[in-house]
Amino acid sequence: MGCESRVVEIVDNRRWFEPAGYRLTVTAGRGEVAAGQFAGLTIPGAPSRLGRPLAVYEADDQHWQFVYQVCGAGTGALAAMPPGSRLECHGPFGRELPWPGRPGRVALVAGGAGIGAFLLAARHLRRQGCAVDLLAGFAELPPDLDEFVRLGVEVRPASEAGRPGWPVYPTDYLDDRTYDWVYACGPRPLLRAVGHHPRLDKQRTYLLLDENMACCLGTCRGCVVDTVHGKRAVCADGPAFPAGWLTSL
Amino acid sequence: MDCLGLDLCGLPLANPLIAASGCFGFGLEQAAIGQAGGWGGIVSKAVTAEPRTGNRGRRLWETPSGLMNSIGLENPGVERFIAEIWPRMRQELSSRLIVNVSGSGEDEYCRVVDRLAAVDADMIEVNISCPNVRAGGMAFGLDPDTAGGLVSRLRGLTGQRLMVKLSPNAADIVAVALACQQAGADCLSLVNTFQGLAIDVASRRPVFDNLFAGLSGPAIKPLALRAVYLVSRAVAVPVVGMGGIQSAGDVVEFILAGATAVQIGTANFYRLGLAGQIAAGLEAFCREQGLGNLQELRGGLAVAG
Ligand SMILES: Cc1cc2nc3c(=O)[nH]c(=O)nc-3n(C[C@H](O)[C@H](O)[C@H](O)COP(=O)(O)OP(=O)(O)OC[C@H]3O[C@@H](n4cnc5c(N)ncnc54)[C@H](O)[C@@H]3O)c2cc1C
Ligand SMILES: Cc1cc2nc3c(=O)[nH]c(=O)nc-3n(C[C@H](O)[C@H](O)[C@H](O)COP(=O)(O)O)c2cc1C
Ligand code: FES
Repeated sequence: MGCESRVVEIVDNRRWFEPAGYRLTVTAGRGEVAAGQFAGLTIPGAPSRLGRPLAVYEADDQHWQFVYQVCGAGTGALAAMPPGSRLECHGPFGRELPWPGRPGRVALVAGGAGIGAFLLAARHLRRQGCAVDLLAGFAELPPDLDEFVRLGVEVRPASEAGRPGWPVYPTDYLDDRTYDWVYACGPRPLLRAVGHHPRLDKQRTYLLLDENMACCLGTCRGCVVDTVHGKRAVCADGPAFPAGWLTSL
Repeated sequence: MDCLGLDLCGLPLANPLIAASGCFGFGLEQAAIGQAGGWGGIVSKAVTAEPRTGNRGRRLWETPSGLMNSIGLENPGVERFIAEIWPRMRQELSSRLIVNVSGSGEDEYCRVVDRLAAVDADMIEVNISCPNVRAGGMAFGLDPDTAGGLVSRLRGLTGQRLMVKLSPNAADIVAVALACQQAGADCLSLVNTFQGLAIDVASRRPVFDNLFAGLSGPAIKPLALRAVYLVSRAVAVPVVGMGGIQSAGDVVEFILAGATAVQIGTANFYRLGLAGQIAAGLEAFCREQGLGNLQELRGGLAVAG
């Protein structure tokens, strides 16, 4: 319920990390949002008319927040929109993440704006009594991740630009602790590294996939991936799938 | 009061808005979120004799004001459609229901249409215009003789209303339209997608594994309007126009060009609950223009000379 198209207003839209990472707050408010779900944003003035899918980073009674990386015309135009501007927001779409049935140690592996999927996830997992590590990789420096720390999450940062004592990739942290469940969101190479990691159980490693989308409801069959159970729509059956399901990663 | 109601070859429609094939699935996901209302009719995704998994590789690519797709008729096949999907469509959707049929050869089209005798569809749409399959599909819609041959075989098989969906990729779409009318089509729908090519510069490869894919959306509207204008002047059967419609104004343009009703595809991906909004826009238009019924405008394009 509550999956609809509505006009929302930008409350805040600021640079959050380098290069070109942004954090966006809009008035949305209606309807529950579960961790893993995403919204489509139609960006006025962009050549694209399809909503740009973005994971809902934070949701309360009045606002939805998103984290995004400028990587094309749509996100570029979005970054230029000042507070007070209006845009259409569709959703929420997608399934809630699959959860571990019991407490254990969980790694959330994020590459850049992939962190956008994980604040709601971290909150839920902490409530379930899991120990949660956020393995957060950024091209340069991470933003202030105090929201995660306050939930009791251990933040383990990585930077491709290199920082003394930090690894280059967040996946480097997968070697020194044993994780019972792993969730990963970010660029394809990161998903591949996590999905093929020899220390991880592929049925307990969930990858949040990104495919070009149109309907976001599972009906147009435009965003399907091959799995051991046949074609699955990333928008409606996902976005998260066990790495062991994916036949072409 | 009822300014939008109409009759489409004997089938009463509450309004001229029909959800286009492939852009509304079977309507069930939309019904589940309360966003399936407002349509005069809904056309199903293409149904083939056997289940199909569709095309490999990328399936969607957005272009300025357009969308390219290469889905490749992924569908559960006619038997599962009849057993599992159709009963739910009838129960959960309140619009007129049209089943879109495709196949890789004449025999497959015939098998599907024959099996559809088992359901009480309001109409069958014969898709002779899918550009995204290697065999069949659009191949039937390019040539008047092939199209006419298929339609007359189907006409002999079923008493259900047949709407034939034409391809804008035909060299002479009017000739194909006339052949389908001659063969017994009750009405014609047009246009399906235009075949196009998308290139990925970084890899120097085509974006789609099938090389070409179908272009839809606002980018094709002027081309579609021209086709609807030409065909509706040439045939006596009703024409259902489509291609890039996203507003009430767009619908009026197609009706002025000669369409009796319209289908809306890609714009469903731009907004949930689109039909209700467009219908409200059309009602307001009729009030402002003092029209008793929108059909008064059909074919009313004032052409100089
Ligand atoms: C379920 C889901 C959740 C997402 N959540 C987030 C998020 O929280 N934060 C975030 O920054 N991004 C997220 N993305 C990715 C985001 O949707 C794309 O980066 C965005 O649509 C790009 O739009 P654009 O108009 O700026 O780029 P475009 O101009 O459309 O494209 C720029 C480049 O990116 C490629 N591209 C664009 N979209 C996709 C795509 N969907 N898949 C593969 N390649 C693509 C294009 O081929 C092109 O090379 C998510 C995607 C999905 C499917
Ligand atoms: C993703 C997608 C899937 C489609 N699948 C079908 C199909 O299965 N059968 C069919 O006859 N047309 C199919 N079409 C074509 C549409 O029904 C319609 O003819 C075309 O998109 C033009 O209208 P539009 O610009 O409003 O989308 C598809 C179009 C899209 C975009
Ligand atoms: S976007 Fe249409 S099936 Fe996923």
